[in-house]
Amino acid sequence: MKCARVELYISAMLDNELSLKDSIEAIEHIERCSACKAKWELNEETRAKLQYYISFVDVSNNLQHKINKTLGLSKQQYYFKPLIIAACTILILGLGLFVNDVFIQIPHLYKIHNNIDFQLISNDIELLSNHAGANLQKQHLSNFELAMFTPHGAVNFKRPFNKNYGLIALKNDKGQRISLCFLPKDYKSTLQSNKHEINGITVHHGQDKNYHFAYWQQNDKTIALISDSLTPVEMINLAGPLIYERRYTNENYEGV
Amino acid sequence: MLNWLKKLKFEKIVRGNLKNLMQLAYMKSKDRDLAEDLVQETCLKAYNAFLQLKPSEEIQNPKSWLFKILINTHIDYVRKKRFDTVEINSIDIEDKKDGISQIETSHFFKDLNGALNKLEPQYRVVIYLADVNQYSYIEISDMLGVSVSAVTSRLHRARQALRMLLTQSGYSQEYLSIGTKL
Repeated sequence: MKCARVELYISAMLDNELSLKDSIEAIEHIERCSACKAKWELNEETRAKLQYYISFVDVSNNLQHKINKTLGLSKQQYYFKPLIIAACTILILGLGLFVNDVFIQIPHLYKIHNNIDFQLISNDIELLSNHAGANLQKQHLSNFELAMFTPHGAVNFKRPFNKNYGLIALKNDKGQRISLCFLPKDYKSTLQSNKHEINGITVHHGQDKNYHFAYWQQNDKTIALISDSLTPVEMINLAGPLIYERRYTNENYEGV
Repeated sequence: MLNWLKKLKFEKIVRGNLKNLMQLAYMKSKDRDLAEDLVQETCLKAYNAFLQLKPSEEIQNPKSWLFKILINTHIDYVRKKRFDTVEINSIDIEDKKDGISQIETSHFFKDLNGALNKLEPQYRVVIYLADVNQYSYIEISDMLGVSVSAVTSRLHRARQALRMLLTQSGYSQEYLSIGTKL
């Protein structure tokens, strides 16, 4: 390849616009020819220096001001920004309330039971107490422990739970699973249920196709128990400590 | 879309590309005041065009879009003979930044500045687009409204001319001699 042709190629090669075949030929020539190599290196050097040189050309405050004034941008910027932020905040809050009130449908008990998204897996007594709205002590869960129920999953594993819906998934050594759900105070199941009064607390319990359920209101929440294999009575017996808190006695729930 | 929302969007585009616009305008005119006028006019044209956009339309590459408007604006200026009487001044970037002293004391930058002053505006622009912004030849051809082969040959000639002008300076001679030794 001759110098005249290489010179034509140098520019395109610098911009990665030359074909691979021509680039290889040009590079081979440049490596041999000191004059072409000098041209190539000067082009590269100039490009680097030009980039640095042009970086000093900046926008003056005067130009910025003129543009803002001509287009009315500065006024818009300061006038609208707080308005936009305020409008967005109201919109988000409003949407949040609207969504909470209208769009969040109370899920079916069995869906809750099988939905891991609601699960709160923990043996942290303080966390459970806060969530249940009851002052639970370790001894209140003794029946669970005696019944060989252990937290499902890792010890002290916490996950954020929904403001309105919480779920503690437990299973015993036989693999029987029970879901202890925390629902809004005004929760009412659409399923047909029986009622039992236990120490002044109305417990609703019943059976659907594949599972048994029991729920009652306690403090500002509704607590529900769901299980595939345990009967409502078994569940209520297990839930005794939660229902009666410190008022729990054997006599109170044995008659259920 | 509401006009004020469009304004905000446009403002974001302009703010993000204003420095590049100023650089291109400066490479076009080599005069700071004229460059500022050119940028201002470009922003106004771009703004009006932006407001006319339909909701379904979107600017794919805002920088190229603004460059294209600036190049056309410059052509309009030239046609109106507004630039005819303008002399090519020596670089007037002294008032820009403290860092400019680095350029003043650098031999190579003096050479580069002198060479750029002597270079034709169309060569300066094509070099700026390729070397600083690293646009492809297709993109440059689109912005300048010329064919790709015209861009190729223009860039070749521009670099050849710039190299020749730089070669005339002591620094470049020294550089070239080093290159020759290698």
